Amino acid sequence: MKRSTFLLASAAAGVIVLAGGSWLLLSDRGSDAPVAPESDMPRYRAGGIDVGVTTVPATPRVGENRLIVELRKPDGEPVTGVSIDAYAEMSAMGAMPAMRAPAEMAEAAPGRYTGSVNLSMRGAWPLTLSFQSPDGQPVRMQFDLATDRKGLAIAAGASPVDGAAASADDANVITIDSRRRQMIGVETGKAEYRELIRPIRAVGQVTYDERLLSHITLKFDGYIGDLKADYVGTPVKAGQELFTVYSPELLATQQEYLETVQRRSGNGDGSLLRAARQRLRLWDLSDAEIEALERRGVPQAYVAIYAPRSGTLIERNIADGGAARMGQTLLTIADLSRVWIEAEVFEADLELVKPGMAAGVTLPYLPGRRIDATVEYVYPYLEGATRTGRVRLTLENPNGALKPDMYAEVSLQANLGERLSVPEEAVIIAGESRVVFVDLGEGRLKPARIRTGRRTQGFIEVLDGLSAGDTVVTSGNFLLAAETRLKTGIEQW
Amino acid sequence: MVTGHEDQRPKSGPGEAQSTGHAHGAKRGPLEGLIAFSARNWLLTLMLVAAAAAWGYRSLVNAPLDAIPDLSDVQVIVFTEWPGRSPDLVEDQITYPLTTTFLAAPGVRFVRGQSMMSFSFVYVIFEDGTDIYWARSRVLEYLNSAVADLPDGVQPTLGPDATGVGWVYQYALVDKSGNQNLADLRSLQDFNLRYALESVEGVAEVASVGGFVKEYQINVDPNKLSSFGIGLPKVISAVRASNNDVGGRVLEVAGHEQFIRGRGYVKSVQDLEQVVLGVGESGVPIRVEDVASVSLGPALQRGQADLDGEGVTVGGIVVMRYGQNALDVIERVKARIAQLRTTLPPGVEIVPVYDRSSLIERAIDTLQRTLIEEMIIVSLVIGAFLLHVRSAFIAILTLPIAILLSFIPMFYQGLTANIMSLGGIAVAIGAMVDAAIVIIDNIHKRLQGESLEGESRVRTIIEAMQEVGPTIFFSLLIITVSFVPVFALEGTEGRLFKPLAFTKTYSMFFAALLSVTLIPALAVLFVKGRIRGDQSWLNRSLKAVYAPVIHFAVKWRWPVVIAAVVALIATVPVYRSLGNEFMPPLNEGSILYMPTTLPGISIAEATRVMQTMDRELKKFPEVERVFGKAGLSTSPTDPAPLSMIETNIMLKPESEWREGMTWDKLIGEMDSAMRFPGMPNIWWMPIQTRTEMLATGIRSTLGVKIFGPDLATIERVGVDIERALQADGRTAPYTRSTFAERATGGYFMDFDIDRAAAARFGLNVMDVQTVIEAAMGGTPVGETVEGRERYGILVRYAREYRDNVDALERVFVPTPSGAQIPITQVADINFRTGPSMLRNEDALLVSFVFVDVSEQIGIADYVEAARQVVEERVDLPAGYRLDWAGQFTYFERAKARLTILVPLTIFVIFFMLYMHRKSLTETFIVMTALPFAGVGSIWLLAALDYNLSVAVAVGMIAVAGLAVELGLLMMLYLDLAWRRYREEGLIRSRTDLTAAITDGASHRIRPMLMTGLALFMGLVPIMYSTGSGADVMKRIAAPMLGGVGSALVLVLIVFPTIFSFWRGRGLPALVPRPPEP
Repeated sequence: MKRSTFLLASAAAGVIVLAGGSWLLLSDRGSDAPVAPESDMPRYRAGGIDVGVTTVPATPRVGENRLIVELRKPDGEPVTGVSIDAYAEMSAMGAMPAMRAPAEMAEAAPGRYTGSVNLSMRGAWPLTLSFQSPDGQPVRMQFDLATDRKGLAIAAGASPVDGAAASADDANVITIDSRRRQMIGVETGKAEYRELIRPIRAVGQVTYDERLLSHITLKFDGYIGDLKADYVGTPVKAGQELFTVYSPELLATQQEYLETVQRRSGNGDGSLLRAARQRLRLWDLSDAEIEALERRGVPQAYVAIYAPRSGTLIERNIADGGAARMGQTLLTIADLSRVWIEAEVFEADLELVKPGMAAGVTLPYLPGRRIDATVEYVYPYLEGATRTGRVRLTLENPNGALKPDMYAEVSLQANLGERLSVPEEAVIIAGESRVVFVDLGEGRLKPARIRTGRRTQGFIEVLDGLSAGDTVVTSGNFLLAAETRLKTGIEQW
Repeated sequence: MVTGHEDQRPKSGPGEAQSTGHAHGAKRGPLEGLIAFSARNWLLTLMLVAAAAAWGYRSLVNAPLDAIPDLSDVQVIVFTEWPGRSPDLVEDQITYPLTTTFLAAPGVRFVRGQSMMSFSFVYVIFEDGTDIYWARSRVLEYLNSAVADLPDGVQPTLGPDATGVGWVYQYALVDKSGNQNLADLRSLQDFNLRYALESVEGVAEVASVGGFVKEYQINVDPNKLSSFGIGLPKVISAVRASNNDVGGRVLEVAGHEQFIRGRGYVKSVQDLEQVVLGVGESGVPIRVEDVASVSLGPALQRGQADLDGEGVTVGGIVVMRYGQNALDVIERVKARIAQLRTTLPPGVEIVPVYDRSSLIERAIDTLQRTLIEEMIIVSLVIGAFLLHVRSAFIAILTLPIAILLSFIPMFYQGLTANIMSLGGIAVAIGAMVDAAIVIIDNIHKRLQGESLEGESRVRTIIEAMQEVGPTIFFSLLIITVSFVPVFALEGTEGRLFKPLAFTKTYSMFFAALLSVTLIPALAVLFVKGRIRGDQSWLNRSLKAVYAPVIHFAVKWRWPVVIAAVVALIATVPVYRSLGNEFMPPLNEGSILYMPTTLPGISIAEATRVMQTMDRELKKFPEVERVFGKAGLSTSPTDPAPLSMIETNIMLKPESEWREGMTWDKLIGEMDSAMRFPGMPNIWWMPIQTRTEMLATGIRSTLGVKIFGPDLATIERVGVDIERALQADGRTAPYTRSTFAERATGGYFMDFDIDRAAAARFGLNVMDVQTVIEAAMGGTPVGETVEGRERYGILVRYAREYRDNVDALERVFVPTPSGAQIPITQVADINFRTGPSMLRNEDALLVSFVFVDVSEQIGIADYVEAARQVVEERVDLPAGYRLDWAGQFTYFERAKARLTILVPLTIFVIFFMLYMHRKSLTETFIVMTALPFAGVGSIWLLAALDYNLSVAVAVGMIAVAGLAVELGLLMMLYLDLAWRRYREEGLIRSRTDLTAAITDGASHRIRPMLMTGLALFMGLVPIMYSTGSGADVMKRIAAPMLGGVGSALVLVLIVFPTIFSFWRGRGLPALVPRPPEP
């Protein structure tokens, strides 16, 4: 009747709504629901097998997400019985420790493994898959997974199957596309053989060239008469009169000489005269003076002492009328047209320093001037107190700008020869390890452990771990290192 | 809500004669008295209610506003700065001595320490409910004794009485003229703006970030120093001795006092250059300028800021004091900034980069709009059913008044008006009108068809109300009691949801109170004119639809019951498919982008990356402004390492967004644009983030905390535990993953001093260390005093002598003999890695092992097994201990409480039902409403794609009371009809029973649907609301909505069939007598 038809109709409608609703709800999130067709699944080649990975929903969300992994041999045969370890991990932030969301993967169909990950927060949850391929090769892959971002992107450990280079990269290789590289400012440099010049900085002091130094001493005791070079710093010329000296001894000798000369003019004995002349000579009277004495015929009370070399008076121990002892250094004259620089080189650098090496000298008091020089001599001993070795350079000093006792900074250029080297910025010092990122092309980067040798201007010698021609990353290293450590496991370095 | 009155027969005389046995109407209890009194003295009642409403209004107006409740613990931060020291040094010398001291302080729950490069943070967390100022004075008290143990010159300070959640306003300084450099801007911020804003009421602190802090730097040339034979310590002491002002009391001259001053503060670079270090051989003074260059430079920084990717900038962070009215504080800050604008140097502007007030206003707006919409909808429901404007008006008027009244206890309890507390009211609205509905419905029933006037009418009304009044109290009590488990929540969740529980309870209470006071008074006044009762077309057509449905259901009772059971069972997989989340997202209107990389990034690199990021973000047309901060500001509430960038993205109003752009889509686009390698993105909301950042404990379900004195040993133990749990047969099958923290991430260049070598040169360790400290790091030797401004003076080697590894190997150490030897002679340089941050809990170093446990085993069982495994397999050295911690302890505690509270609540409900119905079977039947409420809740959650979270759980708890209420109501109506039929001897067969059920159910369809729809429709506006705060509310409302829906279906369709089973036992199937029409 009318009422029963109505009832039946409404009951049927109710059942349909209920059934439809439940199907909708269950199928949306059901575990056995059909997943994306195989062609939609991005595939990667790792460890000799094709790995297809996707999530349901395709845009991961906070909460439960299904993870589907398909393993197949390149010929399409499914790889079964593999135990896959999969987890997504949110890295630590500040005081907040890292969070890990593992997925228990079970084989749903041959070669098809499913599991679910529960993401408890919005954000990036890099996904790691690791398993052993049938031939026992460990495979570890890393994907960028983030809530509210569609799809998974390979980050490390594999390369897309359709990509040109399906090489067998190891798990440490990270892939970063060119836009992201640009964003973090990745720049590269080459590992190549370069002539490495190691500058050695040494502190030096300007000193007198010891070979151009003259002391004025008397071989007799005497009294100073007229001191011509009467202040330190007096410029003197060779042969210039420095001072006069009165010495009773000298006077007596002159007298003796004159007497000998007079005697000889009678019937003298030549040998006696020679001896007398020799005595005067040994007391530093020149032949000219002796001749003058002869001509004059009277001994001179005050004898002039002349400069043995041109230069500057740098020491004066006498004054007018003072007494001068025999053997005492009365004046010192230094020729400053050429000076020495003695520089202290640290023990560690000493082996690189050789005579004849080029060097540059700068003086703090003469800023902006750099004088080229060469290493003349390396002293064969160390200074005990400072553990430094001393090297000597000789500099021409025509205008006297270099003043003894000035401090000088000496930069020695030690040529190390052709060495395999990379730009300094490329090398990350991580504790004992030294790591560089090698650019493998197509956005793939691989951290490489190297051994380093000497460091020179902007370059570091590579002893091991790289070969010539490798491209290394010189800028943006920190983020790459972080990416690697985030994506390929904490234990790396 | 039980109408104790059987009404269908108009033959009824005065109401009490008709009461049905369970009713309280026969006795005159205090509530009946109150109803009668209120009705008789309506003027007095109205005046009292009006006064109370005014009081409530005052509380509402003065209620502190905020976006969400402050979720932080009662904590006091002790902040210590020790520039340039490595984390382990800070830990050993500062954090450790401090934490040990505070452990003993009263009321302390735990002490957590965090040691970073240059900084130590000690968090002293007090028992919940401790007064923050009391706590601060205790900390200060204990700090006094601790300071003696700290290194010289280290001064711990108490953090502000605020938390990171108190960051309510941030600004950046922009100089358009180009006359001010970054150091000048920073000085302006540090010495001018900061103090001006800190003096604003309610502001705890104004922190500075970014730019450059000026510093006098004496860059010593070690070569020149050694040429004069002067050591670095001499320079330090000489500079120290050259910067002071003194006072020489007074001189009296001619009756006047002349103050004597010795003026000697360093005021300029020249002053420092003239400082004398000694006298040379020839009596020539050796001055600082002879051995060093003096300059004004940037001090060491652990934080930098950027605006719009345009370059480094200076920013300010206004931190609000604990428990203040955020909106007022921001208003005051803005007013002060407006005043300050005129005093700024020309060209300098203050640009807001984060402003919480708009969020608060939006959130309050959203809630207000939702509340108003709810009220309108509920009013429409009532109006449509009652078809009596004046009566509807009574019910509608009670709503706002009850809401106003609930602000009174809120105000005095110190609850802020926020999303959660207003949300409590929003979810209660449907239930609040129930009382009014039932009372008015009953009045209508009684007045229906009668034409009473004057006193007899009043008496009838009062009697009608007296019949139902007490039972309303009873049913409201059930709703309130059923919400008690929410109060058992602890920690963050507790702080988040307790305000909601409070306000819900308050509004329910006041609704109940008004139902026996205001409603009687208004009813007497307003229920006038012709009462059409339930004979309106709406009610008639409802009855016409419902009667066949119920008839059908009872007839096909087996299929119906089976269908119900199937629905119940089908819910289980749906329930299990729901995900979990910590906290539902809270749309705050601005985005906090927080990319985080590994520790160890340099400030230059961090700044560079941050600027690139900001530039990229600024390209989005939706973005108004981008303000990035890398590392620390000066606020102790900000323990951010350099590896963490916090970028505030201020968005334009949504009207200016691109077509079709949504919040989620925008974040999605930004996320794909910002995929920086090595920097995982986090897109969060500012407040939520700061709240989460405060939680420093373990956040995974299970973790093992290893406490001990030595980090290396702790690490070894951690790795051992990791292996043991994965290897042992007892735990391995249930261990999804374990992961022990590794102490890496910090890079260290260590100078290992060779004591023997040092001794050969006559050097002590200290002599070498002074050089490391002073030459490489720099020694702060004092502060200049320049008016209001103060700048540090630092002595260190000139840059070229310390800016690379080679140079550091050549740093000179002066020996007693006067010679200068390179440091490598007495120390070995080693590069090492280690922790970049140390954590400390209760004075021991702590590290975590995170364990993820499979769902196949109960967490408690797992912990039991794991404990044994660890005990047998892991060698734990003396002095080390383990603690099994993690979210699970909280879960366990919550579970422990809930395992008592939930059954207790159910029992109390059960008991109350039983006391009321006096029938075990009936009580059980009513209780079936509980699981069925769950059915609707869960299906709706699944349909909306919501995850399980505490908010959802709160909604589910809330729905329990409502479901019971509906069930009870239906049960009563069915029972009434059955009793009446039986008394009249009409039940002789199942057909008769069916007739009785159909009759009873369909005649009471009006109050059933009215209450049900009021509950249901009252929640609908929440589901449709958008904007700030809506997401959280939706997650509470969704299970309620679904639950009320399914409970309504259950009680309307399934209850009659269950009832038919119950009462149909032993009845013959058919008896020739035709059923009642």
